[in-house]
Amino acid sequence: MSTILEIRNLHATVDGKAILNGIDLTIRPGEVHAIMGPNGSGKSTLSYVLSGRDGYEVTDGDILLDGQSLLGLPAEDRAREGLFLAFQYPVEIPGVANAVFLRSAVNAVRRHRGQPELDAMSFLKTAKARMKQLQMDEKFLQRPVNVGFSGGEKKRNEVFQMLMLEPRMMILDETDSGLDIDALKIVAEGVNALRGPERSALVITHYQRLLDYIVPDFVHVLAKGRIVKSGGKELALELEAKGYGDILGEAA
Amino acid sequence: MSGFAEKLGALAGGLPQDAATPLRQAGLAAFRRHGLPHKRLEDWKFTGLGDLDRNDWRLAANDATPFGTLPPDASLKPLAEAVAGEPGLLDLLMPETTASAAMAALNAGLLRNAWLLDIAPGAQLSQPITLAHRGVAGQLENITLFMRLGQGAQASLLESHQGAGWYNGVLRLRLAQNAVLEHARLQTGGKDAYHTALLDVHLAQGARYRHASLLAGAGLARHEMQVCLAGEAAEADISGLALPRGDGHLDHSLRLEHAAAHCRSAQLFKNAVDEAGHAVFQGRIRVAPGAQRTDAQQLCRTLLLSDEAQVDTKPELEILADDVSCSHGATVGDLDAGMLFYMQARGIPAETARRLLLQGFAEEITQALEDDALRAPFADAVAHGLGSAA
Ligand SMILES: Nc1ncnc2c1ncn2[C@@H]1O[C@H](COP(=O)(O)OP(=O)(O)OP(=O)(O)O)[C@@H](O)[C@H]1O
Ligand SMILES: [Mg+2]
Repeated sequence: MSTILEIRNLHATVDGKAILNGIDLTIRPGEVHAIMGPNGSGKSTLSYVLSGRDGYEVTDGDILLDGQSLLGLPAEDRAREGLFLAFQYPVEIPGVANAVFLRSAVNAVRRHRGQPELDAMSFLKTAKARMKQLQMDEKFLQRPVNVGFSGGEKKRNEVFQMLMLEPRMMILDETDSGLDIDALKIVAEGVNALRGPERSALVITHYQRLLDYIVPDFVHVLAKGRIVKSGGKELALELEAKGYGDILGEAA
Repeated sequence: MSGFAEKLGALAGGLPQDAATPLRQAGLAAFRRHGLPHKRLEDWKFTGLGDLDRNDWRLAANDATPFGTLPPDASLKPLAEAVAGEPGLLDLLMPETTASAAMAALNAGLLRNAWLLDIAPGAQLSQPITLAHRGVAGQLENITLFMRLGQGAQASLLESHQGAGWYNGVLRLRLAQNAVLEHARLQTGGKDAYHTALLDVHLAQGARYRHASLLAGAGLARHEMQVCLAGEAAEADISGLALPRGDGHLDHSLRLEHAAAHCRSAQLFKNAVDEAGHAVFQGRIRVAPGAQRTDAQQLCRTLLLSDEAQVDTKPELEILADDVSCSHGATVGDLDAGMLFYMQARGIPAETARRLLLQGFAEEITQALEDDALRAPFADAVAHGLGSAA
């Protein structure tokens, strides 16, 4: 069976410090995998290593997207190949309008796929439709990227970008944190709208609640840079009820 | 005597004899005494003009006005004619005779393409006044403008400098009570161009002045500004953006004086220095005794985009009143790695990401302009400056 993302024995260091200590994970088309785990266990690090951030060094193992190794590819190429990271802490970019930023991104991805670039009019039309889907005010298009956005608005803006870029592999790093209950539903519906047989998702979260809306096929527990337990969606319920104590105890 | 000073007699010899002759004499005498400013002068410690010290400059024989179509509320006269009719002007135009003011003295000494522009009291100009200069290689263009805004007048001024050669200009602005002027200045000369300019602004009570300067060309450019808030409740917003690259040397030097109480001033200067470029910002704030309730802010932010890029900044505060709110700050850095990664993680190529970030950095200066008719050409010139830099 084909895979979209395959992580093999991944070891990575940040500033010389080992953070990921041998991760194996296979994600097939259409699957949603959730990763949970204590603070500092390496979840965001994994998301950065996958997306190719400078300073995150892979010391062993491999990452394959559609069978092709991503190691050695810069972040921009990985994104164009269809990897998308919704950041735990979206970055503010003063002076660069959301619309300008996003149109550059959409057109870079379209060029890569051999599709014609979107002109300003058709870009706006699509953008406005997606914003409506997420119940976002169109004013956000003209504002500088994330500058002065509330925590929840930033997260919604991440999912808006994802809807515009239509990635094959979505990585959501705590997209639920900062969202109110209604926003959580809207954002989850946005993610679900993208789900399909050819797209997969890796959802990092601390809370079972998100997984009520974005129902995962698999749940993994990350601790100290390793996956220490995997299971179905019921594992998230178990963690919610009991915490990590037992599992970490078992794994030790 | 140096090469340029030796040739000065010949340059000045062709000038007319008229009511402005006393200015020329005073200017030449002062310039001869000091010569071109050099780095041993405190005000010029980061910028020397040694490159100009050649004897092959020709004085541009251009008497056409540099102004575009003027509105009916603006009246333009050759300066010599204006001085003949209003002898009091001579005192106002007399150059300082210190060594650091030698370039303004030279401008007076070679006075020819010189104008008085009066904006009638209460006038509300709907279109900007334009002053456009395109220099020619080997020529020294010496433009002098004395511009007065009558009480309550409101105007915009778009000044642009392109081409090659050497420009040495003096622009004196006098804003009467409650007058409002917005002034954009674009220097986008070729890399062989030299640019030395003095902007001298005087604000009466309640007058408001807003200035945005772009230095985005020339091998060497210095835009020197002196701004005096002379009447109470005057306001000045002074901003500048320098984009040196190649081995360009671009200098914004500002002396701002709060001479009256209840005035507000804000300075925002930004530099994005690439290749072996060199940016200079000198900003002096003086708060005179008695200028209580002064609000004076200064910020200079620099991006050094290559290993060879250089910046020198020198803030100076002299505060002689006690009830004031003054601040100054300077930052130097590179483009933010987190922002670059965020953009690349969306598929944006690194070069485009850099350009967008630089445009974003510049945007704050562009947005300081309120008049669309100034902001649009400013934005275009910035985009052009960054485009060819990337
Ligand atoms: N530059 C760095 N230098 C040293 N240690 C780092 C660096 N960056 C991250 N770490 C460490 O790596 C570990 C994993 O961090 P990471 O952000 O991946 O955790 P996380 O699982 O996402 O946690 P959270 O649930 O709090 O978001 C932490 O202990 C963190 O302090
Ligand atoms: Mg994290």
